[in-house]
Parts: sequence; structure tokens; C-alpha cells
Amino acid sequence: MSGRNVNDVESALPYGGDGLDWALLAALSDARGVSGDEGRVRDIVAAAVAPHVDELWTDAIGNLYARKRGERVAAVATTVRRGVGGPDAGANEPGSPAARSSEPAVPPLMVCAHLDEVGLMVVDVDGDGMARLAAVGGVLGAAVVGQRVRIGADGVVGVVGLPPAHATTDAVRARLPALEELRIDLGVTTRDAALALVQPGDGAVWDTATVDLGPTLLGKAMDDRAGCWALAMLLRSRYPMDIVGVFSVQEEAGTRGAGPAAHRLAPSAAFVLECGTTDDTPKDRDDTPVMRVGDGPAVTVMDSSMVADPRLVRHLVAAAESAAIRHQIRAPKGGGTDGGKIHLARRGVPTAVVSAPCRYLHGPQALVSKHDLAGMVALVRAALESWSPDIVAPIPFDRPGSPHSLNREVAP
Amino acid sequence: MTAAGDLSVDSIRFAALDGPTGAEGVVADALSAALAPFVDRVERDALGNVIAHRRARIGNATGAGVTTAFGPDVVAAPRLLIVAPLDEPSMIVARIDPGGFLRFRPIGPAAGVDVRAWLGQPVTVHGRRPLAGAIGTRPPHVLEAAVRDVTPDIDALFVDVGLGEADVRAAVAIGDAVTLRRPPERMAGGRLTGKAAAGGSLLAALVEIARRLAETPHPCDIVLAGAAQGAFGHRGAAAFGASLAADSTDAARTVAVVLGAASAGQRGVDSTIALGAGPTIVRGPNVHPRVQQALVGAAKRHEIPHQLEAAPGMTRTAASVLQVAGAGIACAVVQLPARYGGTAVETVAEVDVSRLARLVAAFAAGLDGEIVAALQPALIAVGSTAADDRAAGRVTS
Repeated sequence: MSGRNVNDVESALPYGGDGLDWALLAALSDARGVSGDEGRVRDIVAAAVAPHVDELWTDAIGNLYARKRGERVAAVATTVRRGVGGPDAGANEPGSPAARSSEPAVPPLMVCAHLDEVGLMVVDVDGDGMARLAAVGGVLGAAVVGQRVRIGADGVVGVVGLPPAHATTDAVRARLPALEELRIDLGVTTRDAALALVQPGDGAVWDTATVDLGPTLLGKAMDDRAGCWALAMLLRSRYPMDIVGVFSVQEEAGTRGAGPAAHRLAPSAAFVLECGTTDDTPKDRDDTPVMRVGDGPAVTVMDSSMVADPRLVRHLVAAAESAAIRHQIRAPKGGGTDGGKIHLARRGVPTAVVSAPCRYLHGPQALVSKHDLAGMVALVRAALESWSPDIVAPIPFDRPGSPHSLNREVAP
Repeated sequence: MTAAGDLSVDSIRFAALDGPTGAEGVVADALSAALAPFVDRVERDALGNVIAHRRARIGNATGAGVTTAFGPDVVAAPRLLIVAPLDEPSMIVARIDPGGFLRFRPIGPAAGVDVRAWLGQPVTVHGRRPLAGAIGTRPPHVLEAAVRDVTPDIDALFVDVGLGEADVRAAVAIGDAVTLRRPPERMAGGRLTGKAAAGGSLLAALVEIARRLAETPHPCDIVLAGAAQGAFGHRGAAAFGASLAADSTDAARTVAVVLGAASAGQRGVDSTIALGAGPTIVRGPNVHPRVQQALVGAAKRHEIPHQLEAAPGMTRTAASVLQVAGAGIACAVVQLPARYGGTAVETVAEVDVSRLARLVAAFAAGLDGEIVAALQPALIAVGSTAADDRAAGRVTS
């Protein structure tokens, strides 16, 4: 990104947009990191958050953890209910307070965004030097045909071509090719020359440099670098309780990284920061837009992977309303998130998802609104600042005298 | 070896510019400036064509040019017209929808357009100021399974410039041009890829031809033309072609070499033309066989790799109109092999660009009155002298 908004229209940012680092978001979106190859993205995130956090560590699958100690750790420790994460919750983490002292582990809040992006993988090279490809995550042939890509650690340039229109028939043009039918042209004409450039297993992503359109940004990997960016912005502040920011790996390859992360942290609750699909562009069908770009950050009630914890949903909405942050409820359509794994970790983790609405997700040019992103940071910040452990207190089935109490004595 | 080292102007310089059909001014400016040091004068005509003239030079190339008459039928020097297109495949804003989404149509014929080449592409909208945007596509999460492999209709596509409707309406008007925003990039294997990789390379070749001719004697007048509206019926070439060939004497002293892009073998295209094997020299009804043969002769004399390309009908180049412009012009077509022509990933081999320039410059330097005279109409003798005349090659093919 040039640092200049190319469409020369200023964005109105009512949520303290000053100090939001849009260049960091552009750098994150431009970094290449399909699922399983998140190293370059993780390095950028680590460098961005290191000055602001108390601890930073990784695990065996590649998740990056950033702990921000709370202002009132001791006070929280006296009131927090044990039992959400189990007796060893958080105790095994390198550098965690529990590992260094005999203090009881304090389950932190987990705030999660995923490092990886959808893209392609080179699976083989043909005799004519053309590379065969497969999708990493949900990528359709339509999003690949006619696109320029960057492959592997060196960013080798490749193109996925299609014949000139005059050399095809109506029937050919009417059908979008499947990925298996496509090849990446590397410029070379022999298998050996191609293998000198790329190897089977190399990741490939769209060759898209983020552009700043004024009120919006257009880049390849807003899903979920927008979430990573928002989390990095949030980690600049200190909150009443311990926060562990988790930059997870392999979300797009089946939400692989977040489960182990939630298991390790055993958090008292989790917020997932996603970049979610909208369907808010012109179309024939009378169908939900899911979310609308520009209408603010979206709170999920249900998606394909989970039902959000209603207490967290209420807390988020209340935080948004009390801070006058424009927000929307995401319609229950579209994909799932890391929350699907996090809420099932250990004995279950109360989990909610906040999404930045995004157009053209899982394509070469994804569009997000600065207004929505600024609102996302403001909303989650408000929710963390007004956090109370009571929000996720166990549901009081056993209140004495309650007709719902499981422990009430059964009349003889 | 990159073409940047071989050519006086890097192909990237032209391939990076936006030249929508009918609004090629930026490209025309760059071409005019690049040609100026090598020619006697550069003009721009009413349609936006760039037309550069260099008079014939005989003997010492650096000395004053000497113009002479050649052959019995030609009073002025023969004239060689070398043409390359200025424009690129482009679109036009047809409607501004609620929400600020821009509906568009291709410039030129809509039939036969491949919508697949536009899906998800970054674009520039040439509005009151240039706006970056993209042609949006619905994501797999919401796309109904039944339509995932169905190419959307052109009317379902739109450009999103990421602005609110009011800002869009203030900056964009119906009729504004849209071009692909995919500047050139070098690849392995000496390839150049980008939305105007072939067209930009042909303009760089045109400049290189001018540079080479400025260093060598050439007995014919040279006209180097950047033709506007190539994608819309070659209207630019039609106009200057008609003007150059309006007079039958002028037409008679004129030969045209038209530069274009050939579809090389690629996935989905069964062609023996290959990238990196040299420019193609086209054979078929759109070209004059003698000019074509002279080009092959020049390629062989100068040991320039080249390929023959059969064109059973009209070529897709300006030769389709120049051949029948005015009194008619004898045309040849020399093409740069390209893959994925007309798409954002159009790809050429840079070695072919310099070979193409060398070939046409060599042909131009060798074009003299004798060859041109042999192309001209002649009375077909009747009776006993006919066989002698045919043997002397005085009958047009």
C-alpha cells in the first residue's frame, strides 16, 4: 500500500480511528501465509505486538500467544470461579505466572484471530513445466482462473491462464473451470526448470497488493488479517483482567490451531475476531446479505460451527450500545470459525464471535471497511473493559429453593 | 537476457499504461515521446493515432537523406507503414446501481467476450479521477452449489470502488472507461506478464524498429503508427489507412507491416505456435504473398528465428482494414506469440519482442523500389507476350 488512499475520498471514522495502523493491516494482508505456512505472517504480528505485551510464545502447531496482564490480577483471582478449565488450566504454558510461582492459575480471557489465509498449493509439475494446484481452504476455480499468483518462500510469479476469447467456444466460456483443470504457468517449459522454481507443497496466494480506497481497503487476505490486526490494536491497551491474544494457525484447513490453543489456556471465556462473508452486493435472489459492509462490526448468534454463548452476545451488544458503536447481528448463514473448536475445548468455553464484514471473501480482492474495523476494535475494547467474571458465572441451577435446582429434595 | 537490455524502451513502460479503446491519450503521449528522437516528425490525428514519419535515407545513414525515384511505376520513394495498436481490452460504465456498484459492458463487440477473464480482477475506473476497484464475485460460503461452475452473465457483473454511492456518483459518470489494473511483471523463462503485455511489447518493438532504422540506410520512407481503437474494428487504422492510400499513386508506393499478437499453444488452444520461438509471419488472404515472402527472406538472411502462422480468413489485426483502405494497401502481418491474450495474465516471451523488432527493421532496410514495384498492378498482356510478362513477375498474385 502506498500509504495514500488511491480513490482520494476521506473516511469518516467515528470510533477513534486515529492511531489505527492501516499500514500494518496492509502489510499483514499482503504477507503470504496459507494454512500451515503462517511463519511470515506470524513474524509480522510478533514484531507488531512485542512492544505492547508481557509475554509472547508459540506452540508446537504454530499458534502465537501474547499475554497482556490485567490491572487487577489479584482481585480477579479471588473472585474467579475455578472449574471452567480444570485444575491444571494454564499451568503448563511456558512463562505463564503459574509456571513461575505457586500462585493459583487465573484463567485468562482468550481473544483469537487466525493467521492463515486460503490459497493454493502446488501439488505436482507436469512434463511441460506447468504446475498442478489444489485449494488450501475454500477456493473455487472462478477465483483462480485469470489470476497472477506468488508461490513459495521466494514469491515466484505464476499465472493461471485462460485461452483468448476468440480461441474458445460459447460452451467453454459458459462453464467455470474446476481447480483440477487449471495449471500455474511459471514461464518455463520443462519439468526440471519448473522444479528449480517451485516444489510440491509450496503454498501459492493471489498476487494482490492492498490498496487504500479511502473508506475501504481492498486486499487478498483480509480473512483473517483484519482480525489479527484488530487483536494487535487491542493488545496495545491494558484491561482489568489477563488477556491472552491467540493468533491461531490453520483455521482455513479445518480450524486446526485454535482447539489446542484453547486446551492449553483453558480460558474463562473466548472472543473470536473474524473477517466474515457478506452477500450484500447486487444479486437476483431475495436472500440475506448476512452482514453489510459499512454497517459496523457484527456479532454472531449462530454460524455453521457453533451457537454463540448468549451471555457473551448480550455483553457485546450492551457494550456496543453503551459506547454508541454502530453494530449488526450476523445472520446465521455462511461459514464457521475457530469458535467452533474453542467452545468445545476442555469442559466447554463460553465463546462469542465478532466479525468484520467483508465482500468477495476467499477471492483475490477482498473489501473491508475502515469504519467497520475501527468499530470492531472499539466494540471488543469496550467489552473487555467492562468485563466481569460474573458474566460467565455458572448458570445457577442449584440455587436453594429454585424450582430448577437439581439438588432439591424430592418430596416423598 | 532480458528484453530490457535489447530494446531501447522497456516493454514494461508501455504495458504499465492504461489505454482504453477510444481514450488512448496516455499511451499515445508515451509512444510519441519515445519515437521522437528517431523520426523526422510525429503527428497525432483526429482519432488519436500516433503517426511518425521518417524519410528515406540512402548511403550514409547519419548524413542528409536522399530521396530518389524507384522503378518505372513509382515516382516517389516506396513507403513502408508499420502499425501497432495503442489500446487494450477495456470496458465502459453502463449504469450506476444503488450502493454505488458500477455495471459495465465491454468496449467493442460483446459477443464472444470471455467473462471468466474478468471475475475477481482488479480494475481502474477512469472517472473524474482514476479510481481503483475490483470486479466482485460472490464467495463460496453463500454461492448456491448449482451455480458454482456456471459463468455469470456479463450483466450480473459489477465494479466495486469501495466508496459510498454519493462519492461514486461524484467521481464516475456513465461512459467512463474501465481497464484491468494488472501492471506488468517479469517471470522466469524470460516472460513478461500483465494486462497489456503483448500490446505494450509491440509498442516497445515499434520504438526499437525506429531506433534501428535511425542507424541504417533505408531506401523507403517509413511511417510508424500507433493505431487507436484496435479493439473496436480498427477504426484508427481505417482512418489513417484511408488517408495514406487515398491516392492510387500513394497507395501504390505503400506497403504495410502490421504488428499483432498470435495465440500460442496453451491449455485449451491447440496451436503449434510457441512462445520463445520467434515472431510469426502470417500467410493467408489478408497478407500480400510477396511481402510475406520478403519478410521470410529477411528473417533467413539475418538468421532471425521465426514461425509461419496460417490465417485462413481475416487476421485480427489492423491489416483487416488496411488491406482495403482507400485504393488498397499490400499488407503483411508479423505477430508476437502470446498466451492468455486479452486477459490480465497475458504472457509473452521477451526474446520474441527483440526478434520481432530486428526482423521488421531488417525487412524495412531491405525494402526498395524493385520489391514495391513488383507488387503493383500491371496490365496483363494478352497474346504471345503474356507468358513473358508472367515470367517477369509483372502479374499480381
